[in-house]
Amino acid sequence: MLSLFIGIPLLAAIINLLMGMLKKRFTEYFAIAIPLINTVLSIQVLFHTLSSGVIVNRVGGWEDVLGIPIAIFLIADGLSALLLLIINLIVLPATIFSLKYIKDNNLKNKYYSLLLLILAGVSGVVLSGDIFNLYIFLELTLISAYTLVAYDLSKEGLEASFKYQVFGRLGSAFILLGIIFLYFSTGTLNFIDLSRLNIPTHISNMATILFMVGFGIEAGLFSLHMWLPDAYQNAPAPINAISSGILIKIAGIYPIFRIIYNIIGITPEVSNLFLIIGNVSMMVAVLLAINQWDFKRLLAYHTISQMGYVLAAFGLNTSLGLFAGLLHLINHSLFKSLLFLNAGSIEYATGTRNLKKLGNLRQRMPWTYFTNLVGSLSISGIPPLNGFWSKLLIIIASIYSGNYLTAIITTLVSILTLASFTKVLKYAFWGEASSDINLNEIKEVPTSMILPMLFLSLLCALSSLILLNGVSIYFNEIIQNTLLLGRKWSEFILLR
Amino acid sequence: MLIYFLSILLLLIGIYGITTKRNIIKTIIGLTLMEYAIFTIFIVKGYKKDAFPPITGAEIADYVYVDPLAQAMIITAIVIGFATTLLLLSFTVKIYQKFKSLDINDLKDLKG
Repeated sequence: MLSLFIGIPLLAAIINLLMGMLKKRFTEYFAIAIPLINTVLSIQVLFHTLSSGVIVNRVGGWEDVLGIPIAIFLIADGLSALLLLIINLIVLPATIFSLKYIKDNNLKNKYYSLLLLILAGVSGVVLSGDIFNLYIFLELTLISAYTLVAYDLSKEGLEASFKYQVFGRLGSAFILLGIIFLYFSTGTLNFIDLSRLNIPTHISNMATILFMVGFGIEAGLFSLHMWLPDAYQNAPAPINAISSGILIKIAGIYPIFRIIYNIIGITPEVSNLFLIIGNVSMMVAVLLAINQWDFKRLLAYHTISQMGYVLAAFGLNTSLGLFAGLLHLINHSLFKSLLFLNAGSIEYATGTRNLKKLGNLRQRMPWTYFTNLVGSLSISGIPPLNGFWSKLLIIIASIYSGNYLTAIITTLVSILTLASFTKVLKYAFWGEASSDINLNEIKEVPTSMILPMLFLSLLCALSSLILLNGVSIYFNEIIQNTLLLGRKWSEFILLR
Repeated sequence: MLIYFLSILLLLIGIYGITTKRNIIKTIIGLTLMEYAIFTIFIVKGYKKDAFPPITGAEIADYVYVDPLAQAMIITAIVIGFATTLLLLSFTVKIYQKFKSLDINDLKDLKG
């Protein structure tokens, strides 16, 4: 069952590449069908995990020999199932958005194949039940992402992709070194085994540092983020939506939390580290963001800043903090991919991303304006939308746990975020256009680009419903049964 | 012990290459050296003296067998390293065609 999530996109990527050479139109509709199938499957998996706890699959059906697991494990607990659904909910609109956005017919089949490989990779990372497979799926995802950043082979694209590759490989080297430390101290790679075995303190400290640096590079945490704005500035907009919406979270943030909480075990020192990195990330990145005039680059710095929120909330190490952090992680994937799609449609319609050149688009592009308004209000935390609730919960959680500084910084950064998105709205949609652009020639983007944006803005509004009494119980249960269990997580899995 | 020392020296040479060299090819050599150092540590750690292949059913007293998983993992990691290096080198060809230079200092279109 679970191997379908990896198998279907992998197989589809190959079929897509070959069939695309023969028949050009085939590749587009085929590429949409795959995330659609996976969405349906992931809803099923989510309901299954909510009712019965955990799904554990041994790929190939290899049973344990003398109590030693030899099969490849795929584990779907609540957290994995939830993230799997979010992955597919972001990839689906991004693929539909690409239909008109990608104009070059000769590159279409390669583009969609790489997109499907990313889908296979991130699903693999989320479901993988041992640490080395996680590394392999991570590499699969990253190699596809490196290529897609320089998809048009422009000068900027090549430079950005080169930077991304050097940083990405440094990161994966650190991760591999961390895996070596864990493997030779315990003799196993399996998550369940690792969290049952006793890891010596000096090994676990070393592994924690190596994983923090390695996955931190992939997640673009502050001070390891140098590749991120460049890569995001040049990638096609749907790829931005995918990489900001899910790739940095699944390839960076999720493994950090899974490994440090469930496998190595969280210590007060590590959660303080999360808190410090989180606070510095959100403060510095938002200050850098305000200065930007390139719409995508501005959004890229906001990605770093919002990831700081998530890390700081997890650093509080209370159940409310974890709840708020995970909620913000999900909300961020929804509104940030929406905003990147907006940037893409502005570029599609006007040919530029420079905010100084744009202006008064509100009349010419009403749908883009409306969805951008939803996204901007959501990221800056205006009440009815999802961003407000998760930020409020982070502030409440930090006050409860006595971290008043975090509460102050969170509020301050929220105001600065609002300021920077007011700038976007003023320069792009209100105000006067510069003489470089002829407003009368600008048309609203085609329907296949409007629909994904509307879908994501609907999700932005709907995901605040997670806090309703009946739904938040399930959401809370997911956190209680995964991250909060700490190293007892293996007992929980084995019981089911 | 000497071999660990040498692998770590190789790792440091790799990191030195990545951080100080301005030529793209030299940066790539640094990256691969660093990865190979990690592979070497992995292989050496998995090695056992006078050990047998891990085949069950053999009737030998004090059956000492090597850990097969370390080698299996390293082969996978080498293949991944090969693919990423190939990708990086093919990008280098494209970079040379566009920029007419392999100096990192000439790659500075992106700022801010």
